[in-house]
Amino acid sequence: MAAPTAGRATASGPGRLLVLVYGIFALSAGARAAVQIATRFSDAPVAYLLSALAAVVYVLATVGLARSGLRARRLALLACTVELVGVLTVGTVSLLVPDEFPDATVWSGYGEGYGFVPLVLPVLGLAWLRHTAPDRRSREGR
Amino acid sequence: MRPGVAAAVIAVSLLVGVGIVALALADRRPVLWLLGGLAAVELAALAQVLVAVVVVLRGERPDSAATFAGYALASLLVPPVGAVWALSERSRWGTAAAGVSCLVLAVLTVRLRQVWG
Repeated sequence: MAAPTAGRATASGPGRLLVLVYGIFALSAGARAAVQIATRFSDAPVAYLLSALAAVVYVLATVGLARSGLRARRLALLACTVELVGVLTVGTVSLLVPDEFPDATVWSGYGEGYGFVPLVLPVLGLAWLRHTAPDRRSREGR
Repeated sequence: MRPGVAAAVIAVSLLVGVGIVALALADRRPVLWLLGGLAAVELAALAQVLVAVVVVLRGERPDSAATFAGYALASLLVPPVGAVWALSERSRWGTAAAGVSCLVLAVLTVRLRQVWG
């Protein structure tokens, strides 16, 4: 059992499905960034570095959600927040300055290349973290 | 890539994936059926990669070899790793996750065909 202050486990129930999807995005974003950087980095360095950043964020979110405890919860919270800011920023910039993004990243066009899952995922992640968060009243002991 | 093989893999993974998600919605968990379905999906993925290897050995090449190899490797890993992660949770959500890992193979197979060119 997790300590009461750590809240409910984020990897069980719906979290099992969420961590699976995060893991798949960590794998695909990581592989995509690795191929892009290894084979044609000079074509679009900004886009490829953002792909790599996205991959790191997905890995951290997967680990944070899959593990239990307060530190894992903070890691997941940070990763999901960066992810949401990232997909909104990169999505907007990729529409405004398409020349900087000749090759798509996971977050281009708000993740349209991935069925907009990259846009929905951080929202679900943050909602799930909130839902499983430790109960403030019990922690403060009234 | 052989279009027929990819179509068969997509059909098997969609069939098994949708079937497992339906079981999850009905809150049922017939473990032997789940394992059988997941094994069929993994066999399909394995057959597809073997066919691709044979085709490459005969001299055909995908447009982007590195990307193709990455997707091929992912197509072999996702069903078993996803299934272990999913089935270690004994709830309808675990069952649903197993179904989703099958559906992901269908998506990966579509991408494999696109990447081949």
